[in-house]
Amino acid sequence: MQDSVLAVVDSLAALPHDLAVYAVWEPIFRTDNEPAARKATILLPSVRVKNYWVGSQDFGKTFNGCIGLASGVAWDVYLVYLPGRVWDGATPPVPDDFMHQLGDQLPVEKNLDGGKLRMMLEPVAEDQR
Amino acid sequence: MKAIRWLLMGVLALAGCAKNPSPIGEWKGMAALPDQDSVTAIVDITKVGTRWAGQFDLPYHGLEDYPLEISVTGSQVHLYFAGPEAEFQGALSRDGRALSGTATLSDGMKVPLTFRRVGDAQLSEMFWKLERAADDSSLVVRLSPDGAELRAQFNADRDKTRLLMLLSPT
Repeated sequence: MQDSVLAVVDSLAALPHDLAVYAVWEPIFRTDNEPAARKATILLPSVRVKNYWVGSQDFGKTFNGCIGLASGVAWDVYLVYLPGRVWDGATPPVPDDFMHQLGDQLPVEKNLDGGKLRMMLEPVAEDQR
Repeated sequence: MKAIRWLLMGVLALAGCAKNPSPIGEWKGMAALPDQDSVTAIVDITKVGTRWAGQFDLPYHGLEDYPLEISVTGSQVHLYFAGPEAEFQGALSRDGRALSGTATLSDGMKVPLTFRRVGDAQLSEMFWKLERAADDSSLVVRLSPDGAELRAQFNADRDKTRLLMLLSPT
């Protein structure tokens, strides 16, 4: 897991508003399995984070269309959903914004930046107070 | 009667010698790669319950405490190095002091490699914390193929801003 991801999650712990965070651990590399996902939760200690393990890449692929990923599996992506967004059918809803670390597979301006990700989340917090 | 007892003790001692040596410990190996400096790998192997576990360092590449996938069958030891995606297949010597075999690099190149035992496994407190977590099924919710559990939570939190991260655990 990259340090930038840990930094993002650490910074989320400091956000003062009501924010739900889900980490979905997927099998991308050979060493990715459920015990590895359990270990990874130790590195994301924020109480805000709910952790899930999915045993196949098929679930990640259902997100491809939401973010415009033409092929492969959506992973190392960070989707932001504003209040009110509902997940109705089999396909996840399109996020209000997102960031990624998938290189040139997705727009470069969406490359993960912890500061920008916080900004995506913080203005809403002001509205919610 | 005394002679039989001595004979039995001798047989048991021989059986003990024939037992496979254990790979548990710290190992150091140096691989000579074509057109590169030789690369040193430090491998720490232990057992957690019934499963093998360990870590490796590749100081030349700045890698420290990376996860190691280990399988052991008799004297045969297979290692998979996460990160560089390299493998090692080798055999323990009869005295348990050497582990000799072949490393296969991510590009398919094969190089001979011998690890020498240098002492007890040096595993950090964090390693043991992570290994305990690996056995704790309460830490993650196992999703159905359609993600129903996540969808239900997502909709239950509809009044909140939500951050959904799709990640690889390693």
